[in-house]
Amino acid sequence: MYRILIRLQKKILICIAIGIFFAIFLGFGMGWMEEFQKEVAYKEYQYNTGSYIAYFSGNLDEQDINIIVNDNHISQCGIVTYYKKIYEGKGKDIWIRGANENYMLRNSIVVKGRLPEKENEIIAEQWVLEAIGLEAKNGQEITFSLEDEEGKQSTETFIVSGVLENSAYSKENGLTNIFVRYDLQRDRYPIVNLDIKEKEDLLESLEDIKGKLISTDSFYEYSSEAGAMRQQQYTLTGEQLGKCIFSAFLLLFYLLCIFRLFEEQYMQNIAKMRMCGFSTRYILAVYYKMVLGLYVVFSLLGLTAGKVCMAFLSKAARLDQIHFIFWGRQVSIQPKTVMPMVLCIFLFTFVAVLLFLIWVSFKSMRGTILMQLRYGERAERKSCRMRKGKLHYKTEWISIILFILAQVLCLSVSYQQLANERKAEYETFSQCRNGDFQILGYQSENISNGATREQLEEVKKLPGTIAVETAMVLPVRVKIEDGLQVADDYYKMYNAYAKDTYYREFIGEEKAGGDIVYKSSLMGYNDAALGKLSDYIIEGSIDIEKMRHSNTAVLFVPQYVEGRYRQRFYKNADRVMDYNVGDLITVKIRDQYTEDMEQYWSMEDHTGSHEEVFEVGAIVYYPYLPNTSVMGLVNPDIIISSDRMSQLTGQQICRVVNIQIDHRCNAQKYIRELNNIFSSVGGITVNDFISKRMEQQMRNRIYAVIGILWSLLVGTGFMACAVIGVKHHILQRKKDLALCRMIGFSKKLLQTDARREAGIYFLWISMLALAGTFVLQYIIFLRSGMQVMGLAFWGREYQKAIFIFINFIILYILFYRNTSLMLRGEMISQYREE
Amino acid sequence: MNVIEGRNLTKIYGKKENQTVAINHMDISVKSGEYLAITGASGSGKSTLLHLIGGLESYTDGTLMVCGKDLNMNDEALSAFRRQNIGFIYQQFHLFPQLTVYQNIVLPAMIHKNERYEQRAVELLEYLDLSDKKNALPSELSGGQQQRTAIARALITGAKMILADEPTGNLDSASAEKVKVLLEQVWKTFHITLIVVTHDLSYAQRAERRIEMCDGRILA
Repeated sequence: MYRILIRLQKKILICIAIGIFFAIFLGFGMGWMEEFQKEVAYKEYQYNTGSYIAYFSGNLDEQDINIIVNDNHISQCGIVTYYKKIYEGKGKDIWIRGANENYMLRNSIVVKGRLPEKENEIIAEQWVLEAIGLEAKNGQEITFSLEDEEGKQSTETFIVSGVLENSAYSKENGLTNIFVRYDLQRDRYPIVNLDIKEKEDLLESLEDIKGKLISTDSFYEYSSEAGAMRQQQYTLTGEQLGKCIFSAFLLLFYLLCIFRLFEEQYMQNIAKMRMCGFSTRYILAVYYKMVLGLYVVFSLLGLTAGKVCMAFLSKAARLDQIHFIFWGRQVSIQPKTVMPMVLCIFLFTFVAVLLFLIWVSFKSMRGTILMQLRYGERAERKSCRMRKGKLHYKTEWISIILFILAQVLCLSVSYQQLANERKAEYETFSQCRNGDFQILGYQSENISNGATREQLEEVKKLPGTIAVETAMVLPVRVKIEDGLQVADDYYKMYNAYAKDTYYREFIGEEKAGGDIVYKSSLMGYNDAALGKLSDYIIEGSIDIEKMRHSNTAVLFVPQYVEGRYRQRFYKNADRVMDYNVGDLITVKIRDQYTEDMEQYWSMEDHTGSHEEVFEVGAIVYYPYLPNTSVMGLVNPDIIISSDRMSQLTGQQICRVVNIQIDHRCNAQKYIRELNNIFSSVGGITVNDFISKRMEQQMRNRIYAVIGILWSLLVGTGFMACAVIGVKHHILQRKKDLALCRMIGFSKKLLQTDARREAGIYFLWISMLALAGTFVLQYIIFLRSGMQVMGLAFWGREYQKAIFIFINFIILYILFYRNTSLMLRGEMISQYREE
Repeated sequence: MNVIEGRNLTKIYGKKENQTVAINHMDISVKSGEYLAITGASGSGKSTLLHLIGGLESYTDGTLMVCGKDLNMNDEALSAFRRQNIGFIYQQFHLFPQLTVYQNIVLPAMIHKNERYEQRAVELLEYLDLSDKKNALPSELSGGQQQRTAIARALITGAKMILADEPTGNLDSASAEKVKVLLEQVWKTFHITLIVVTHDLSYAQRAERRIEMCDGRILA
């Protein structure tokens, strides 16, 4: 029985099955992508911020530590203590820390040797070993001059038991850790870092652990950002929910369009079956069972195919190569299939199928058997009419809308993709990673770490060096003159954020003298770096020659958008302080930078300072080189010529060095040579941005490819519905065309009509689709912040031309070819044909 | 015994000023096993009468008992009644183009889940000379063969009455003659009531009784 009924509705059932399959496939695929991006973002954040989500500190004793370590909520536990500090020689100021295996391997793996087992064994990352003048191999002996917390000095000899792989987190943050095995009797200030098991509530777990601790001084801190991201890992996000609903909506739309195509045949079959003695209820019950059966089978197939396809795509796009090192092992990104997401896709698509069935039932129950038998005739009567002596065909509005939707959707998704790519580029831009290699002094108070003139000369001589852009950096305070407008909300947010940090606040009142000042950096750029600033001028001009000999400064003033305070390099936004070209700025330069930095940051200054007045020659919205003071780039910075800076402050060391190389040269060899030059200098890192940019570009490309694939799939879905609609619309004309031929219309005339109609449809669709696309594109442009970032509105306009061309071909084929096919053969047989 | 008993039967299409009276206060009786021909001009209401008898349309007024049952019943009961008692034959055949001859024939019987329908289908195929076309699609058959398939489908459930609406209207004269003969054979062999609506007076004269309709009423 079912076999026969399936055969009766074979075509429509196949189309329904395909629809269900692709809706689940699409929903799952888009959700999977979302999950992948979430996972990458979380892992990246974890990796860049040191793996752990929280830590316990305070006066933790051995008993407390054991309680934490053995707690059931914990998935990872890294213990770190302070042992001694190197007080002279290579590696000066580096701390030797006690740590357990978990902490030593939190972002790294052992590449040579093993972890320390004996008391006199150490392990460190390759770059740290090189920074203290050792090779990256185990078994070496080194003697350090050490100092403990109480200032007691000693000399100790250690053996390098192993080498850890360089960790981006340690390197970028200048964490020159040398590890020994931790010993709670010997070491001080234990900190227990931890990660909580999946699906456990972070705050509840931390509170629970804290409640069990004996020490009353103990406290915990956690990263709320990481906590929020972690929470998102196991829940359905709004975007995922939206995609599930979108898939279901698309499915419902598709099913209705498909039904429309087969409606006549379906209704006639229902009538014939009713004539044979089947009741409508019986027929519908069978139909429901068949469609729901198809739903079960094809939704599971769609899910499986989605998984397989995503696995294949991620392999093809090399997504599986994105990995991070956590706790001694390489972790590749394995997005989990979030059950709520899968359930949501099933639920919403099921509802779509159910709504479709209800609609079909409603249709099936309307009218008598005879009305259903004559169903097609009614539709045919509406296909065309005469107006002003010309034949006018009924306009297929639904199909026009679908065509427009398909086009707008494809182009807008593509534009969103472009916006994402540009935003990713902007992120890189905002990190000021503008060199192929960058040498940076650590973000600490010790400003004596950096590259000397001699070292820079050596760099310039390296084969392949094209340009060396340098900056000297000195923390200074700048007087806020009367009448200077300051962005209150911006500083309210930043001052609140900085309250508990080392530098306390960004704007404040000096304790000695009572001047209102903001903390800033005096930066001395060489000519090459100053030249680069001209691309970011918003006011004035840069006269390098003048800057060399006078107190003329380029002022970097962050520009912000309300509510987006963390991004500050907008081209077309509000300045945090309303400086203008020609303004005079009074800068308080400290006499002594090596002592009492804490007092300096807390607005006290016991060492004294002198004032220098600079005239603003130009204002830029982007500093080009990063600021290596702990203040970052929140406040305006005063950029002067490096020559002038040396004259005024005696500063010779460059804290930031951008190196541009000829990309034909061997980058690996080049960085080895760079490391050789700077291996003897403590407190700096050598960053390779060529490989970082390549990684980022690869990731962007992958997202772009997948984004375009999905937009094409969704667009094709709508387009398929539109094509089905138009084809159905044209096929309804069969009898009318035969009649027209009977009364004297030639085939050629009818074909010309079809071409003209295709042209009119094409014009309408193209105009409305382009208008819709531009509107949506503009909304994306505004919402994604592209406008204030100063990014271009236009992009990939060739895609619009391609879509319009495809649209033209499809419409031409649909109208002209289908009409021509219908006009083949004898007119009378066409008229009589069922 | 009358299998069809209609009193004051009325069928009106449309509403208010657009009303069309298709059957106008008609009385009709048909005996069991009778061979009745209904004739009349286009729009006289003959096809409507056939549809009312077959329960394909509901009547507006009056009473109509078919095989002792009032056809004012729900879709479920009406479908079961049609299945058990009535077979339809149409000018356009109304076969399922996607199904084979055999599948078209057995479809109405399948709802019974009666295992004997296969045997009966084979017998009917043989009786109607369609055995060699068992697996053919309707589009591969001649008009006469298609109409024979429709007759077999009407007989598969053991219907007591066949309602034929212009059964030879789409056929050439040779095929039409064969179908007429066949229907008469079926009438005799299976002792069924046969009601034929036709324009063809010569065909109508072959029936046991002939009624002529005009403006929704029986003239003679």
